[in-house]
Amino acid sequence: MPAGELMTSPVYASSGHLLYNRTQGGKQGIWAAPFSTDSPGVGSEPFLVTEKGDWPSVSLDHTLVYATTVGKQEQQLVSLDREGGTIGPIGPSLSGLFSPAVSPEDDLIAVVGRDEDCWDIWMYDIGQGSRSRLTFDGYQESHPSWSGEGDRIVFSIA
Amino acid sequence: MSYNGGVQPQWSYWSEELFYIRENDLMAVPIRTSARFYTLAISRGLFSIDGVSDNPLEPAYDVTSDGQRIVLVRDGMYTMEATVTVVENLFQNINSR
Repeated sequence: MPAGELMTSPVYASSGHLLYNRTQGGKQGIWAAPFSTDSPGVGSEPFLVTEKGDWPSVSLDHTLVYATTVGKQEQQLVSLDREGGTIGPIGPSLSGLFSPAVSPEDDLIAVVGRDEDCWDIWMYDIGQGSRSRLTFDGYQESHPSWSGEGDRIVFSIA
Repeated sequence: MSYNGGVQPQWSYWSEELFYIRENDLMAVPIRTSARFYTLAISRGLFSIDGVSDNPLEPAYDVTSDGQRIVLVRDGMYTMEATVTVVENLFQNINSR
């Protein structure tokens, strides 16, 4: 097995194949290789069955079932006092939150958040606990900052 | 201004303090900006923010104008979405390769 390669979840199929999950270079997929119990060892070259998926299982009538999982870490804005005591959560959670900027009136928070792999500026209303999306384009916005009067927000675009 | 490291500096508008993260602590240092910039005392730790990102390019907090409340980004729920796929007659496809 080449270095940096991981093979897991092997299952034997009655067609004479070994199916397994293979992870290499951060990519994973389900692979199959001809396999015989008479002469243990993989025969000819393994080949890719599907680029995504894990935990393959094959029934006697050769139906393949596998699972595909996607993990998502959400972040939550919280309000704390100076001793670190939690005053309460602010609005709904969102993935990829960073760079919160409190408005001069302390009533709004501009923050970067991710939705569908798009980084945008979001606005949280502290009093109402609601949020709205401020930018919608395909650029990656970051580092919002308020003007002194609280009527403008500047931010970076990449 | 900071000793033994410091990232993510943030002003508070009215309290005349600067905040920053040092290792796992949120720090505060009183300052004056009139005439010239200077610190009034050494910085002190407010509380531990263990588990909060200290990435200098991605600030994880801000401070209200009076310096009495801190808005912090904390990790929330981690969710896994699973999809199950069924492929019929798999080896008809494999044998034809």
